[in-house]
Amino acid sequence: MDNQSLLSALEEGNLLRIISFFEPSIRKNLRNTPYQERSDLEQEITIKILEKIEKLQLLEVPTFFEFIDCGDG
Amino acid sequence: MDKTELIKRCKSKMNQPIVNNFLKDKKNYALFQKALNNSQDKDNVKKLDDAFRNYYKSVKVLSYISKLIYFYSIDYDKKISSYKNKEVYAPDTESNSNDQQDGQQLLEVYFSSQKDLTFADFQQHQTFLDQIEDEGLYQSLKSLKEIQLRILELIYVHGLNNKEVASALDKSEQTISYNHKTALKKLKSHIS
Repeated sequence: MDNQSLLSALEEGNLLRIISFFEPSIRKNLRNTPYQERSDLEQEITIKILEKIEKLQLLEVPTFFEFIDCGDG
Repeated sequence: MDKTELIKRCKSKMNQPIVNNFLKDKKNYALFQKALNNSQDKDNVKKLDDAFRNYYKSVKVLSYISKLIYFYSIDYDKKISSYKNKEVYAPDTESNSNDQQDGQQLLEVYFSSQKDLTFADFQQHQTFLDQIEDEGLYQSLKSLKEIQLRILELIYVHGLNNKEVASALDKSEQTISYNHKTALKKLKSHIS
C-alpha cells in the first residue's frame, strides 16, 4: 500500500485498512516494550489511532499556490 | 496575480522538501508546468491544487500517525515502569477478622524474608511445561536441559533479566546467557 491508498482508505473510513497499513510500524515500536506488555500496547495504539481518525479526516490542507504564497508584498 | 512571479518571489517555499517531493512525480510536474503556462485556465490550476492537496494530506496523515505510534509506545513504557516501581502491595486493614488473618499471612509471605521470593514462587508453581498447549513446542521444550528450561521460564514467564536469573539460580551471568542462547537455538532447529 502506498500513501494514496492510505488516503483513500481514510476518506472511505475504512478503519481495517488503515490499521493494517500501520501494522508493521506498530510491531516495530513494540520491540522496546517488555514481552508481557506488548499485546496490551498494540491494542492501546490501535485504539488511539481510531480515536484520531476523525480529526485526520477533517484535516484542512492548503492548495498548491496557497502553500507557495509566502505572503510578503 | 501571475503565478510565475509568485514562484520567483517565494523561492524558499519552493525549496521545501514537501514541494520537491511532490514535483518529483512526473505527473505532478506536468500539471505544475501546465498550470504555470496557462495560468488563465482555472482548470489547470485546480488540477494542480487538487493533486497537491491530496499529496500534502497523505504525507501529513502518515507522519501524524507514525509519530503517534512512536511517542505513544514510549509514554506507555514509562507508565508501565513507573507503575511497577511505585505500586506496592497494600494489605486491606479494614476487613473482618478472617480476612485479616489471611491478610497477615500474606503479609508475612511478602515481607518476612529479605530473600527474593521469585524463585520460591517458581518452585511452588505448576511446572512450566504443564502450561504449554502446543504439542510441538512441548516436545522441543522437553528435549532441553533442566537448567535451560528454568532459564526460559524465568526470562519469558516471569520477565526477569539475565542478572536476576543469575542470582535466582545461583549461577554466573555468562552461564545464563550461554544456556539461554543454546536453548533458543535448539528450539529454532526444532521448528525448521
